Amino acid sequence: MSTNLLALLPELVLTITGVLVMVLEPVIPAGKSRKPLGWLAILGSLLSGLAAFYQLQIVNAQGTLTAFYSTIQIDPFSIFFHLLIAAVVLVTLLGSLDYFESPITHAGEYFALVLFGAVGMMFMTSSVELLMVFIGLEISSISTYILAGFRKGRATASESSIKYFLLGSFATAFFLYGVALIYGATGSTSIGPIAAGLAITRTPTMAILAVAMVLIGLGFKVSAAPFHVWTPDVYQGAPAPVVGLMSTAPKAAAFAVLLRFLFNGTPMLHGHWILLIEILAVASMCLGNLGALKQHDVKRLLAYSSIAHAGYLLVAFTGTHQNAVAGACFYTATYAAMNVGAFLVLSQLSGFSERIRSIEDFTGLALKRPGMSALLGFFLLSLIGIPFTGGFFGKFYVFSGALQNGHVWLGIVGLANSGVACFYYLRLLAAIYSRPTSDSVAYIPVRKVTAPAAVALAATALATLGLGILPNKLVHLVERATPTTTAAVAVQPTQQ
Amino acid sequence: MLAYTIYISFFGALVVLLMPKGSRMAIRTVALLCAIAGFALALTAFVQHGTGELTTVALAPWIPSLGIHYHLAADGITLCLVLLTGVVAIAGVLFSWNIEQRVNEFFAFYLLLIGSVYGVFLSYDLFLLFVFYEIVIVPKYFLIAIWGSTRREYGAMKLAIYSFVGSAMVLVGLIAAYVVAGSHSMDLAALASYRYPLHFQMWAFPLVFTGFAILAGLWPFHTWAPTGHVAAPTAASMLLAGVVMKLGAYGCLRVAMTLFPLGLSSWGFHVLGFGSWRDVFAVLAVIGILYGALVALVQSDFKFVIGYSSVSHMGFILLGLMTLNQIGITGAVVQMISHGLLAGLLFGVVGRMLYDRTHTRELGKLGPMNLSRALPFATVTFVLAGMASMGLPGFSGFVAELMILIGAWRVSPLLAIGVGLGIVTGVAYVWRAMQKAFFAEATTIIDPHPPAPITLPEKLGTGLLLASSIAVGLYPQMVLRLIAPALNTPLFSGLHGGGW
Amino acid sequence: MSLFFLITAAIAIGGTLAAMTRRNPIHCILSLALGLVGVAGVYLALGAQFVGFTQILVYVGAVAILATFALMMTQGHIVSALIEPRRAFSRSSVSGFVTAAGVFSVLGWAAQSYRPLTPSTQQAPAAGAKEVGVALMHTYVLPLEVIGVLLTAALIGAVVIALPSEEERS
Repeated sequence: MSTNLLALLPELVLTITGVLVMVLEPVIPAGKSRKPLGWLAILGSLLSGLAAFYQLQIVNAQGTLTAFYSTIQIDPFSIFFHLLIAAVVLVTLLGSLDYFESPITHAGEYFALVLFGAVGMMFMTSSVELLMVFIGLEISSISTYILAGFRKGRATASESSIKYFLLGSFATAFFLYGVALIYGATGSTSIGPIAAGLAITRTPTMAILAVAMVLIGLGFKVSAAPFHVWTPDVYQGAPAPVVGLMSTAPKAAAFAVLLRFLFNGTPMLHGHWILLIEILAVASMCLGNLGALKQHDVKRLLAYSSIAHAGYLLVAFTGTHQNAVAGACFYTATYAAMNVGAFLVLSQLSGFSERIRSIEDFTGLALKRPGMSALLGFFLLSLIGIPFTGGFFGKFYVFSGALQNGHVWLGIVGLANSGVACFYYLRLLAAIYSRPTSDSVAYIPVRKVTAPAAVALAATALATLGLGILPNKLVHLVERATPTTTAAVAVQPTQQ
Repeated sequence: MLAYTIYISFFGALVVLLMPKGSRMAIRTVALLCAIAGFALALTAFVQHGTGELTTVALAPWIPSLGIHYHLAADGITLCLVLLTGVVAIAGVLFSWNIEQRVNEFFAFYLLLIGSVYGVFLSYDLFLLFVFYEIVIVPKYFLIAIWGSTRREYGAMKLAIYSFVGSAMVLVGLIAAYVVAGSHSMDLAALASYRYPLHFQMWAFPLVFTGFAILAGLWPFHTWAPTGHVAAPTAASMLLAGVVMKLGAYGCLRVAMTLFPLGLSSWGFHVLGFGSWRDVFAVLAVIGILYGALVALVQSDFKFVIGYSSVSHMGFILLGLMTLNQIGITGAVVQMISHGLLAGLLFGVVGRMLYDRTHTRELGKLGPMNLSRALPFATVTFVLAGMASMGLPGFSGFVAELMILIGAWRVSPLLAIGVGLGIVTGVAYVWRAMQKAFFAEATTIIDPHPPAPITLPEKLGTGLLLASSIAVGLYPQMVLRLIAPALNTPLFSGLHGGGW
Repeated sequence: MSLFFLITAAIAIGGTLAAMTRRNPIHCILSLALGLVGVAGVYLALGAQFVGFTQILVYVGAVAILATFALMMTQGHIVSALIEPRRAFSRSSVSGFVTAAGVFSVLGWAAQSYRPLTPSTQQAPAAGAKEVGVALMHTYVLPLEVIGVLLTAALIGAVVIALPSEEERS
């Protein structure tokens, strides 16, 4: 297989599956279940994960692969994120296979959009050319805009989709502005040459502005404060499995871009952007946790919690290069496991119609659904950061990285925040385990948990538990994942 | 073998959880057997262990790339506290024999709590210690929030938030210590032997000490303790006051003071008369002793009296630690044991024997019920426990308070005077509570519904706790022989300064 | 700064401003088309003929007309009736203006202080049809191909938005 195709293998698999899903969609007669398409999509994401694994073997043997005129770089870093994205997509698809109550809610399109979105995210993580990153970002964004509004006909869903679309486009415009400015300052849009160009640039201010613009753009995507205002509304309106997906996979991809861009593209401006990162991190942690304190809607609560977690993740960026990448990668993985899990539980409990929303609705849930309650409780404990869950070790890892680089006050702010955060998670947890009130449990319709959803739930729970008890394996992987800049400068087009 | 105290408790929690809901008696029995097994293991180790020196119990790599090991070890102090945990655990099960609602969940959380407490005491890897320390919070929260009484959700949440904030402070300090020492190891002995720079110790010590001391009820961060105790079900408040608060004091001694001994040294200047962190914490401890005792003197809710008396007694422990001489610190450890036993007993009397029968804890309402006639066993128990907690000779409290008093006197007579005032007030509030609850003038005619007689499990639990307290009081050498050598191990060498 | 640039820039800014402030959606689209013509003019002034003409062909010729048709065929008049009249000095518009002013003054300052990477390459690289074509088939062949995925996703999205679901139909 040629290097070029090998480098694109996971993306190719997903694209082909997505196209197949769309081609087969009209073949299935109207009114029939779209489940076979879902199974096809699941198969595709599984194969794509395997493809990424195959790439890992190749990279282990031969070293970093570059393809398409140094547009794509396959190293342990990008493979880690490919695996993560494939896993999140796989779990989301499994969990949403039986999510659609009537077969006519564009289920086929849903599966295809999830797959295409994943293609975009994967390209974001493996590309070292900012133009390519931008296209990946657009693919992933457009897919998620549509997915966010999938519960059509409900006011919150339309609000969710439109808000996400408008603010998201605004953010991508900022990102694009940043790319243009960095081209102006360094003469390139490719990570390696940007670093080289920064050394000789005569307009460093413009480069700093460019970095700030890119940070704003990606800050929107990862819902870091002060660019977080869209998050609660969008999460509230979007279908629960989609929120699980969009709060983890695109964020992971955006964090991957940030890591590559900041640490490999603009290491010379470290002193400047570290300040911006610190501001974003502190603002996200504080505003996220404080915002969550007064929420009643569980999805809004988890939205604010995801803002806070973006803050914790940004704390990782203050470590040294290797620590930062290792910490951020590890935290992304644990966050993905626990957050996807939490939203899967929500989607299993309340279904497409989402009849249980507020904390009060969860009162006494444990008596009716002990298994689900235990799972949700476990994910919430992990989000708090209780030991033996991935969340605890992730926090430990991230903050020890930051402290190692001398950011003591950031560590104190962050951990004090996680102390405050226990309040709102425990409030939900207390509601679940308290005595039921007269009307709360009565109208929770019991939905049977189907086998695929059970597999998905088990997978996320095991991942969260495994990352907490035996984090060793993943620590090894992420410590190797530090992306390197290849010496190859982008090949200029020739006239011949 | 000692490591099995943890495993048996965790395994017991799992077994209890999976048992059928209806079989209450079987569930209680399993929980009791687990507690007894833990106690037996602890007692064996306690008797066999001759010198009090450090012995490793279990050691295995956990996250080698970060230098984190699964390392359990025990020295004399550990052994005493593990044994205390075993005693209180048995008594707690016996005193919650009458729990009827969601029994298996109750005992599952209970055993989980016990197991993690054993874990904290036995951990010699700081990461592991912190893991167990944080796990303690979860069952504690649920025990109060689900089975508690007065304002249980408020009490549970307050306790959880104080605990989490405290442990966050501890975590910052621990990570900082780990990082400054070169990120090679989280082992307590390795980190304690590292010489941290003075300026680092000067901010890391108060951070970690305060973080742990929040759980030990350090004034002014004590407010979670009375509300939490009052809200908790009897067994939970027994554990809470008996062992969980000791975790905080244990952390102060075992972690904060061994890692950062220089943090206790003089600042080189004076602010408001304070010349070091040691002065600050010693004064806070004395304020805690007096404040707790005085507030206990005016409470009308019986459980609040005991709750504030806990704050006062925990102040003795913190003061003992801050004396920085052998007799004072030994006294602090003995006080941990003594208060663990007595607080358990007092909460047992008030929460189980009285409240479950009379459904009130108001001193003013208990008085007219003529309890000294109706419940003579409870009355005798309370009188004995009250005398023990006043510090009467023959009980464990006497030994502990005397040692702390001597230690404090050697540091500063002023501190000792504060302690003396605290002891006197202690006599007053116990006396007042005893008089009002049990020996008030009986005004009403004989109650048509006399309270149910005291059950056998209650008597057994009472006997166990009282006997332990008297044993320590009559033969203190039993624990002192283990504590003194432990304090002279290299781990505490940083404290062996001038006044030792 | 040539007169041609000033005129085209004025057209671009004026057109987009009108597109934001007009209340009739048809007027908005037509103003936007005018603004896009202005942008094309800027491209031409910079010597990028190919990009400039593509801009006119694609955006003015196709996108704007398509938008007009889409609006005429759907219920555009309802939309215009629904839009609330805007107050010039509401909190949101003031904060919007302040943010925009901040961002653009910083950008303007950056552009003013800009000096090219190496003084010798004052001449911008040629951006004729041939150069663009070679670049697209060489260095940027992958982005070009992947845009196909982007368009597919967008098309599916359009279908999902446009087609009413069963519960809406009934």
